[in-house]
Amino acid sequence: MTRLQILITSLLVISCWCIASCLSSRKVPSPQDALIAKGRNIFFNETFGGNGRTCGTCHRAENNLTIDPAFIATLPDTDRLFVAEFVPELKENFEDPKLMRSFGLILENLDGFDELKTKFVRRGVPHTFALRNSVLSNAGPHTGWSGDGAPGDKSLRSFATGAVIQHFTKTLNRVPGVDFRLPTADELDALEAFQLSSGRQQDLQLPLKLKSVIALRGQEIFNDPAKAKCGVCHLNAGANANPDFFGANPGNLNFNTGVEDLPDKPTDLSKEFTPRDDGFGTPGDGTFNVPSLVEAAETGPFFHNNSVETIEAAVAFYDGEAFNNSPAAHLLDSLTGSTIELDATEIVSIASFLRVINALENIRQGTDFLNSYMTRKYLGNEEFNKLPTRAADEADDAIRVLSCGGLHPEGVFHLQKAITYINNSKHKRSKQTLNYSNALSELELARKEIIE
Amino acid sequence: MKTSLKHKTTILVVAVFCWMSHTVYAQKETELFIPLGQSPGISGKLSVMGKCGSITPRDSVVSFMEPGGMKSCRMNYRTAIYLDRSKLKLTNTKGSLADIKPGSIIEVKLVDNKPNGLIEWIKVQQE
Repeated sequence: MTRLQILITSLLVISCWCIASCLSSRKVPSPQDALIAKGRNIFFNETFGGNGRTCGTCHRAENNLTIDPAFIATLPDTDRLFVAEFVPELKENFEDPKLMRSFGLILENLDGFDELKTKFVRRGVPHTFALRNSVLSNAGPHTGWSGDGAPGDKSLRSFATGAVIQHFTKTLNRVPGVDFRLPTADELDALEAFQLSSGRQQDLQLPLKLKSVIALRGQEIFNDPAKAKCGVCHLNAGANANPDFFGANPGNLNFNTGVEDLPDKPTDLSKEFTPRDDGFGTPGDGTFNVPSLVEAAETGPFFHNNSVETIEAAVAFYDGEAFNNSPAAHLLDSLTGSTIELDATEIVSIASFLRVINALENIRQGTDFLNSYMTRKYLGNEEFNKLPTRAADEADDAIRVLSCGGLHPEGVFHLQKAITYINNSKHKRSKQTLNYSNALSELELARKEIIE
Repeated sequence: MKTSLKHKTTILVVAVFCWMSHTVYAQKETELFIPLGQSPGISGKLSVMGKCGSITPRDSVVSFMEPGGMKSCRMNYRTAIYLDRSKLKLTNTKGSLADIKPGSIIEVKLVDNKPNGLIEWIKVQQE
């Protein structure tokens, strides 16, 4: 054996050892993680033999599992979101590209498919975070904006079947096996597991020891049944109703809050024909599902029809005539003795509270992603190699929701530094561990700026 | 006295609200396009499939053979009748009582899954 042969053999042995140790240090996924990973793959890649759309066409991983006009504007014209613009069979009565691009609105035939020209609703795309905490209700599973988005047993598991029929079809004939294929039972299991794994797995426990006096006041008003009363329907800023008012374990409920009665809704101003959305059921009872608020500040526009753009406007809605003349306001009056009356400073303080809890969730999530990457822990709901980028996305979201509310500039500074460290790690792989550790420290410092 | 009345009214309002939440039907419109035996969470668990034995239009009663024997169930104005034409590669459509013929293969889902209850939807296979 020559020296060169010995050297090459040694190098080969060392390389194999390195690869083997790398692979073995990645923790083996549990069966549940493997199911979640399978669900993630289906959610973002499976077209079900249809028009090319996937669940991820509207629920984008890089945009908080939703879409909005600003994000839509960044997409190429060939994106499958715009199939109505380039697939002749879907040109009419499938989507309205103008309203989709301007206001992020999607067409749904929630009251039936027999009169496509006149029977439809236009709705925004809800994010799919924290579904584990929001789909259960005494009234049965609640999915979609009006709580009735799923066929079959109406569960989250069945939701995908309805979505494929509504949104994935090649033609408006909607023939299974021709225009799309229906998800199999195994695929539905995996999709449900993935969706339940996204975002928060637990509700917050309010009150939090917040450092911003504005957000702290917002939290007080939010929970005060004599003031803003938000906590009556959004217990702990989540999607479930308060048992003090609705009995034990009411879960997620539906209300008619009068959003459809708002004047000058974007769809009204657009002059495009938009039938009134009658909410839950066929015919509808006018009610809509209570969404979680923890993720609200980063996932506007708000309400089922994307009526308002900012979280401040969404809070202000509850001080307006549309809400205060609604059945939900009358119910709230009977439960608490008054309707909602808020001044501008109070509106801003509640919105600040919502911005701050959103940022805290971003920091929690970002920290979790980085820790998982560093400890090589397998997360089924995220691509392992993208965890640092996802952590940076979360920090960026936190910066956005805090900055737009003029909140915690010091915290924003730490979040920016965290992003810088994450980006540095991509360029200097030798200092990756140090950079990620520094990023984690900055995330923790940002958190400490916000909460005790 | 006044407080007591208000308290009772509040309880009544919440009770009515909760009752309504339980009784309104969920959206079932995409159910139309789901072929017999493939309704997620329903087929094979909460629905029954079988051959239609007889129909009594006057009482809106459908009798059909299921593994446990002959079963009769009633329809009302809210019952949806779906014609499953997927085997013909045609769009499924809504139908009427007249589309249910003896000998047809049908799938029946009952309201609240109560045995011998009202039919929530009935799918009729068209071949």
